[in-house]
Amino acid sequence: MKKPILLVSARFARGLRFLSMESWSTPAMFLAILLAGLPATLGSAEPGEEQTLISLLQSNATPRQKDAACARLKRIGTDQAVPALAALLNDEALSHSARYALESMSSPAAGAALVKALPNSSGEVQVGIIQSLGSRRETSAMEVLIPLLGHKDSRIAEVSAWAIGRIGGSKAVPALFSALPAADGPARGAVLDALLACAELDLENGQAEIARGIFQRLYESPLPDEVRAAAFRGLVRSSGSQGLSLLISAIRGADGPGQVAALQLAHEISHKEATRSLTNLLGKVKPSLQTALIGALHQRADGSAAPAIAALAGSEDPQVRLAALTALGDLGDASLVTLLAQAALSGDEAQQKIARQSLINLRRGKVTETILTQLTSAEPALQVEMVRALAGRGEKTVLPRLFDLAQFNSGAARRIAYQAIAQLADGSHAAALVQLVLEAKDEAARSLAQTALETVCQRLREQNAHALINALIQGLRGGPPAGRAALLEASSSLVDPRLREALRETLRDSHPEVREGAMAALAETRDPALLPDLLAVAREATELNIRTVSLRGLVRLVTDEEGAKFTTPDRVNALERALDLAQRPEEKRLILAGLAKLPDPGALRLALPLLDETGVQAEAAQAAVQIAAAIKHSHSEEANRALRKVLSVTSDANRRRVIESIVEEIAAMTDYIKCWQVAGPYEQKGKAYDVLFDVVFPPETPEAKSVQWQSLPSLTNPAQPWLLDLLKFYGGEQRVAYVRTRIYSAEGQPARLELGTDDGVKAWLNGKLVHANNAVRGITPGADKVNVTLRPGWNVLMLKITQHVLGWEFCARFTQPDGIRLEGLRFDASSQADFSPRP
Amino acid sequence: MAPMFIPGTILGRGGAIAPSERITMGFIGVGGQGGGHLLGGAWTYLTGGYTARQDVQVLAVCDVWRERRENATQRVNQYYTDHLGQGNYKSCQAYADFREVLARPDIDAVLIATPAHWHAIMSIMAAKAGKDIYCEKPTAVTIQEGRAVMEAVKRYGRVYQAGTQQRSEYNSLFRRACEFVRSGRIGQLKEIYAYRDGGAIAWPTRFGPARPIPAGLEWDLYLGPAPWLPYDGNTGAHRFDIGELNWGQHHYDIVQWAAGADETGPVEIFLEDGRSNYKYANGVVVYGKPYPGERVGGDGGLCMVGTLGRIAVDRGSMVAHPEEIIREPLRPNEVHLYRAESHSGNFLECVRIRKRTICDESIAYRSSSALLLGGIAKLTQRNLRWDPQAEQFINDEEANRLLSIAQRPPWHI
Repeated sequence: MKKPILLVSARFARGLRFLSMESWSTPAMFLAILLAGLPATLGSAEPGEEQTLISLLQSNATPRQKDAACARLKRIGTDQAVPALAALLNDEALSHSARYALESMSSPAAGAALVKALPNSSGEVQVGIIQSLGSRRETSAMEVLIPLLGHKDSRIAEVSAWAIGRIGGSKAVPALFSALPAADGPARGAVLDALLACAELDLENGQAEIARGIFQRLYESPLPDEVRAAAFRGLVRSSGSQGLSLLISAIRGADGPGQVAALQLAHEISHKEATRSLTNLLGKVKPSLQTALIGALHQRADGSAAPAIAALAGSEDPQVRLAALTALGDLGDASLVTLLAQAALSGDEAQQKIARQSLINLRRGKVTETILTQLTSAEPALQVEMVRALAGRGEKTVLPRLFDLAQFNSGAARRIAYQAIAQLADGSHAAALVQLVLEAKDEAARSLAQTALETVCQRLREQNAHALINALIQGLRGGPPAGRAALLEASSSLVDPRLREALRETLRDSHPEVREGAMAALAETRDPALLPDLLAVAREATELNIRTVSLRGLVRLVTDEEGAKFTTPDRVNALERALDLAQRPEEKRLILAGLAKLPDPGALRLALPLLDETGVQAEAAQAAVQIAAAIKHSHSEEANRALRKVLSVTSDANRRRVIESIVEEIAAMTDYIKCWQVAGPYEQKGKAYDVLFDVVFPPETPEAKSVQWQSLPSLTNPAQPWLLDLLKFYGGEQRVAYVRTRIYSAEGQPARLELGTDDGVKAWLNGKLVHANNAVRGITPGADKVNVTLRPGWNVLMLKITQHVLGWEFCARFTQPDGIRLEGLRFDASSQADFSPRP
Repeated sequence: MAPMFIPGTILGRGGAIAPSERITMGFIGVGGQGGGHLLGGAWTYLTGGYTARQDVQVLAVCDVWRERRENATQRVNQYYTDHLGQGNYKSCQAYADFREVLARPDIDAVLIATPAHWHAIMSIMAAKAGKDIYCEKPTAVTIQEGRAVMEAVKRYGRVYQAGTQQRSEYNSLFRRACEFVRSGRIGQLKEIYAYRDGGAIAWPTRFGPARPIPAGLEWDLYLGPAPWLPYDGNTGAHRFDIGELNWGQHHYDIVQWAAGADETGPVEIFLEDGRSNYKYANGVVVYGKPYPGERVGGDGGLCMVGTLGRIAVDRGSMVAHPEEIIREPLRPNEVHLYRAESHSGNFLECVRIRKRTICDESIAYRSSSALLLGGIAKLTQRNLRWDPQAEQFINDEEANRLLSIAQRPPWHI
């Protein structure tokens, strides 16, 4: 049945205010669609919709409604809408709105309407119509536009030239040249731009000769530099095989705009001789031009330029030198190995960095093979650079040569060879590396080999270190005592039962040197199973330094961030036992330093008594403050008590300030509600968070009893217990969840509910909606503040939190209406809590 | 012959060789973003901003808010007074109308950090005035605008850099990730999760209630190409944005780089769960959403999935599964991409020697287009087929109409 037009129009009038926003997936949008009776998919017009909009344009509807109708017609309008739209073109208030639609419709009727409206328009309206004709490239407008080039209103002359330039064609160019002498100000710039545009169109359409004529005429005229530079670009591009020689002459020439344009073109011109010609130029121009040419040749990525660029790598001009060395990394081949290695010896930091990187990047020809060949005969300083490059190039095939270098060389070359081995070696090279440690001919060599092995152990410890451990075990069975000691120290980062046993055995070795090595390895171990051994050594040590070393090792083992094998109580427990063994203040300080790293009330309990002990007070205070700061939210009471105790014995002004600020922070955050029940997540296919905001899910309904509420862990983020992390709990995106809690207030009182949510939030207090903010945002505590009234006795607060993407969090508290802390509230979200509505 | 004037090149002004000469700049828009570029600030990656660079001299500051432009100008002049030892230095001038900045022949380059709806028009006008251009993202708000910027920059031979600094900054994390992917470390690239989806511009409903225009605001110049509206208190940088227009180009810039699609674009845009997604001609599918369960990527990044593994990267980190695929550094025979370790440094170097920047006008055009194509699919709420050569949707008049938006006279592309 046909709907009565008037009724539909009224419905449109309500809905249309939203439509011109073209916003997607906002509740307002859906509301508008419902009200207007439009289909939920914007892609296709509903039968009759276009006619309705046309009628609206022809009615006495408000400008606001007509504007919205134009925006909609841009999407769905056909030829039948053109007359109604065209009628608005000369309406000063709505001309732009009509252009929304007419400018982008592909129909010739739209273009014809714009052309027809032009003579009757003036001023800004006329400028707008011409803009639309230009945007459409409306060829039929050429005849009416040409006379406007000389218009006394410079805005009209300017925009007409622009439009003519976009349309192009045989009539455009003569008209533009004719208009040029009289044109001034912005109109002159537009005429010149239009000529350039017309020439480009000609070039694109295969009319290179015509294009060239225009470009040449412009380039040879006394015009602004930017126009002549543009004309020169066009001239080169339209000159075919002659373009390159034009470009080369311009680079060498004295004309600024031509030179700048030519340099810019140098990297993009596709002529087959271009690289060769530009390369030939390198030796004939001044350094500043050389730098620019090298840059262009680099971007051309043609390796044939490399020899000529290499000839400039020793230029006296630093900019030329750096540009050449940079380019050679990408363009050069194996023949440049020595040149780059030599350049890397420079005392100039920038040059050294670039040359080293280029030697690593070098990839044309057999670069690695060349480096290996030249390595033998190169002088030591060059050898160092070459080995550095081999390491940077990441090629493991060179390792046998590196082992040779390490074994048979000395000085800097040996040192760098070990560094390269450390970078490249994996399990398959472990046996050779172990042999280097065992067979080192002197202490210096052993120390280098040990360091390399240590690096390899650290690098491989997270992976399959089987081959490495086998090699170590094998090595520990024989070899000189000093070598075995070095193997143990180097492998302290590895965790393996066989290595552990080997270490325990060697702690009892007959050679003092090996025992010392074993002790050093134990003190550095990352093996949690060796904790009892460390305690035993500390307990049984007869020498003070052994006890200290083992206690230091113990503290490191249990507090090492990477040694995550211990639970926090285990860590506290180990440090407690260490504290029992510690006798000297320096030992206690070590343990306090370890305690300070543990965010645990147990650590705090151990640190506090030392506040009263001479010699370690400052360290105890430091540790206590550090621990308290780390647990200020998760254990606020313990932290608060400890801080107050430290305050009572601390006179240091800085420390007092730190403590006071933490105490204040605790006070500010303690009243956030930490116990909640949660239900959800709720989502609907195809609906985003902001639409779900207004979708009523079961917790919002009277049948809410059937909802499965569960307890939300209060420490979703232990460092910030006041902040509840729904992403951690539910994950996902484009969904919502509900949380609720009960609040006991001894008396009825006004209060302020402070909310921080990521993303949007609705809040109900005692079943009544008190706040709604359909936001997308990160969390800021107290971002939303709502004045509410708490009933005497138990109150129920429910929040709906929306999730767009990434973070999904919330925090809430009640304060007095002026933001001052509200004392005496109690919260309960236990499973027994009664959430039933109360009259 | 006209007097020789060679802006900002290594040749030096007037043809004289003066490689050490400073590049002279004008800053258009000095709110949070532009002010950060100019003077440094919390978000910036350039300590002290362009003002503190030895190779730059700031000559002009422009903003539609009087207080902003005057404060910024005063701070620039103060910096020069303090650091160059020139008392009462007044070289930097304040402007309300950017056309006056473009008209100054002594300015080599402009940095555009205005509201998004201005970016393309100002870039085009700057190119015509012979200025080199750094432009904030989104570099265009319609595909027609993006193409027009590219054409103007090419026509006038200007140096252009988009404000998609992820190609250079953040310890080169993004470049390294793209190099790994394009070198085949994850096998054949199959999918990219871009974290954000499409964006678009929409002109607002007009004819609302008016409020008095505050003193010190050029409201007409704020609106520019947007329809005339009575002042309503909103002068935000993104008030006409919808969807991910503001941030999306960062993500799609890297998507295009990783997919090796800098010179082209997707061939299909499809909707799934309310988000826009893409298919490229080489079979790569790009999803406008996060990779499920992956924490890395939200901050400007993406997750690239191949037949042998995946790499996720953002401004803070890069992770891979399996881990080994990124453990070894890039080898010489693997794919090496354009390398720059400072975005502003790259811009200024290119201004000096007329090189192509790391995010030039063509790259910016294609990355903004990818973002905007997603926006059009979301507006039309249907799947679309796109011809990246002809730059038209196939058989979809309505979608093609959304490639442009009518601009208020006298502002045009």
